[in-house]
Amino acid sequence: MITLNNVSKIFCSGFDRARAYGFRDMLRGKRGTVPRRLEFFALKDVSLRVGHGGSFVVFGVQGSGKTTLARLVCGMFQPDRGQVTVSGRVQSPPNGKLGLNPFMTLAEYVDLLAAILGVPVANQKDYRHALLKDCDVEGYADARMADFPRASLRPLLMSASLLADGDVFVFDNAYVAGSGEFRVRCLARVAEIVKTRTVLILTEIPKLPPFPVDHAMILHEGRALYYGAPDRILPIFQSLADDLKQERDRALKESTVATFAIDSARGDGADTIPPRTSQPPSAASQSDLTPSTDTVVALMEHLADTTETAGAAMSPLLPAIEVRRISASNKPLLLGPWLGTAHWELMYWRPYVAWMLKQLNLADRRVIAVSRAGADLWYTGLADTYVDLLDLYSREEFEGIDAERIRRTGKRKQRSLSDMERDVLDNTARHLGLDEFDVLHPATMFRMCGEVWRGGLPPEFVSQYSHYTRIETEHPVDLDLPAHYVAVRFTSDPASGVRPETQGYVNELVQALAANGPVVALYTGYSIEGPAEELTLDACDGLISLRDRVGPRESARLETRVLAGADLCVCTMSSAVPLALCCGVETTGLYIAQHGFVDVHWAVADVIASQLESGLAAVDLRQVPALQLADRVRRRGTPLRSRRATARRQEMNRGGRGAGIR
Amino acid sequence: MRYRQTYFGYLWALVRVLAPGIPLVMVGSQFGMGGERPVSSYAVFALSGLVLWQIFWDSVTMPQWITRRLRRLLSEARFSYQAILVAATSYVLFNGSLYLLLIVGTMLISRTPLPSTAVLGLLAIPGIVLSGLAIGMLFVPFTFVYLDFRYGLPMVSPVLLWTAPIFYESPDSGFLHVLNTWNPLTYLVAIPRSWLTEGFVGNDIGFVLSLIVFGLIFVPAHRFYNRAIPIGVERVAHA
Repeated sequence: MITLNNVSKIFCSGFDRARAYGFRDMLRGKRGTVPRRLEFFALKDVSLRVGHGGSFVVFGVQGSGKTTLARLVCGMFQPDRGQVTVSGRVQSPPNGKLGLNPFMTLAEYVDLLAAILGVPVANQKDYRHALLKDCDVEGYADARMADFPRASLRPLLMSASLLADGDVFVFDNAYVAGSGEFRVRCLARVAEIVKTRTVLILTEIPKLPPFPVDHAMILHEGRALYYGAPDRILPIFQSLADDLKQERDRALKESTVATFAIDSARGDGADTIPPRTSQPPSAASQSDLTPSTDTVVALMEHLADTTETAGAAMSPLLPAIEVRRISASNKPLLLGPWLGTAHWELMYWRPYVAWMLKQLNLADRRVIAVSRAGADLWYTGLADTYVDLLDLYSREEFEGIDAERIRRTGKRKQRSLSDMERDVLDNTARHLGLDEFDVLHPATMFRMCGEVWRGGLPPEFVSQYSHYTRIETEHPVDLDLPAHYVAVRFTSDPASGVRPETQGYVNELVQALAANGPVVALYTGYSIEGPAEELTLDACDGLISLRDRVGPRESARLETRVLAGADLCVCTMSSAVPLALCCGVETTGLYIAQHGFVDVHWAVADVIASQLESGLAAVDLRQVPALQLADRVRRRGTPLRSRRATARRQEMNRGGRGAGIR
Repeated sequence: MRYRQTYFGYLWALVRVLAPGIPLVMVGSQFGMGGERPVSSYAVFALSGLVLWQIFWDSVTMPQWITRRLRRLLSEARFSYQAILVAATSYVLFNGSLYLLLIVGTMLISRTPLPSTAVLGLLAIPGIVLSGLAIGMLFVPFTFVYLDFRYGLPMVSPVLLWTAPIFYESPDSGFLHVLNTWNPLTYLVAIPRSWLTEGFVGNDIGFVLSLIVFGLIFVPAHRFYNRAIPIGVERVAHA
């Protein structure tokens, strides 16, 4: 697996200055994390993730930072900021001569390659034989490398790399070499590697590789411009490459004209040369060397105009663009409308809104949250006003609007501002008496998260654009609940791996928990969990139901207050997880790691738990019997509202590793 | 591979010691630098001292030399930087074994009997190599950015060589006596030399103490080496 999390790499453009910085850094024992004079970002805040057996293609023109990225993955460079994690042995076909000495024989050189590429000593003889045969140079085994045909060196190095075993393969600029049969064989071998190994391809060729690739990214001047499916990303890169080529041709033409003008002036007897208009490198400032966000955003806007897929593609610069857009006006800001599941709202949308509001500094502007089913407590401290759509529409009308939106867009997730949502926002504005307003719509957040959910970016990427805050609410003394209780909620959802067949397990678990103390089921009768189905619980002593205590308009509010008063929460991956963590309640989450299971939500939940110092233990319920889990929860289930919660979760995680606790 | 590029091959390894050693033996014996020793015995004394010094000095300079040769490879392929140290050690030990043949030859010619402590002398050689590496590791990373240490170290070599009693008997008093007494190289080279050619000398514990001194340098030097080499490699790769 390869994970780059917000990685930056700084280089220096001046040779002498680079040596001085290198000398200083060696003595200090650490690298600079901020560019110094003449330094620039060769890579800036780049993230990507290639899962086990996955493949990723990075498109980028010359000088975009591809080789730097490849060297970071290969471990030849260390990041100046961020984190690079690679699991397994990395193989990367070398571009240079890789230790070649003309006095070596070919056989010796192959043995050296085997040692460099990590071939076990016991296999080196077989490796040498296979490599010489593959490259059809067995007859040269005892020949000096000085006599070895130069044209055969590149295929030899490519084959050496492909034949050496590796878990991760990095192809920088070329995944094939040689010609004729060798080339075909090489391509077939790479296609086989792509099927079974983790592969990262970096290329400047605006063409898709001749084998399937899972994810793609465009790298430009050290920044990740776009992420997405390769077939959607390729047209954007083609457009970018064409633009840059035209620009280069134009610049070349202009410089030729300028040179001609100087030569003409000299020819006329003039002894003065026109003054320089550009600064010499030594006078260039850091901002001249690293493209500003404005420059990159202008390029993206241009690409959005010229390429169909660019407008809807995911870019890590989208939040910056959104900040610029909202900062440019002084109108009241509507957050939403949120129509999706409460799970995503709490785990992704609310933290994104909090992060965005921190960037914006909207002290003198009105901020209005637009959601549904009594989610007002979730926006306390973020928005000045909360508008509940169930105040503006009946339940049936609201559900009809959402169903129609999904039908028209074909997507449950709000990836763009639809006409239906525009109407909802206009209606909200009328309700509030607003003539004009700005909108912070969930589309950007969904586009950002989408690539994380698809596995092309690490879960930590979401945290860069999230600010996690607690939900503050009073203890629910007016709800006629016991002083201490465990809150439970179970839903079946392919993403958490929990299926309706799990019903028996959760009933057994709840009954065992209820036998030792009160248990409150967080079912109000109105589900805001989207397509996830609630797993119904059999009535038993000690199980308290909230069903029909309030109407749909108050359901989220009731759930929040009940959960905030609980000692513990036991649930599947649903809104209950982020809600419990935001309320500081120690949480035991259940999942089944099987096909379709999305681990990302748990990874993000873990970040929320650690940042808010709430406790979280995730349990694969196939590994732990219900009674054993109930016993474990009961034994560790003292009220925990302190910093000890995280330590307790870590302890649970450690203790339960063998028993399926993550 | 290094000697394959020459006509005389491995002979060059011996020449490295013999070239400075023979004139020193000739001149040193004339000036009585070996004390009461006869010429043949002084030759064994001086050449064995020079060989052990050369092993130490090769250990200081060899990691730097190998790094310099591998700088391009280091920027093209990822392998453990400890490989440089292993390669340097192997190289030094290979050369050292050739040098030892020289000592044996000289002892045979001068009919010097092999003392029972000769085994101890052989066992001391890895300690001398590690001591040299401790110093050498400190300079390796800097060769990526500045060559001052590469050019400067050979100039320091003769100065250091004469601060230890390698070609001469340490005097009983005076500045040189103080210099020899406080110089850890004195114990690192002179004591194993005695073990190899003469036997115990009385202050044999001095060798262990000097090893401890170099061992104390080795640990932080190795940490610095591990930390600084990647920075140097990146500078080369980007240049």
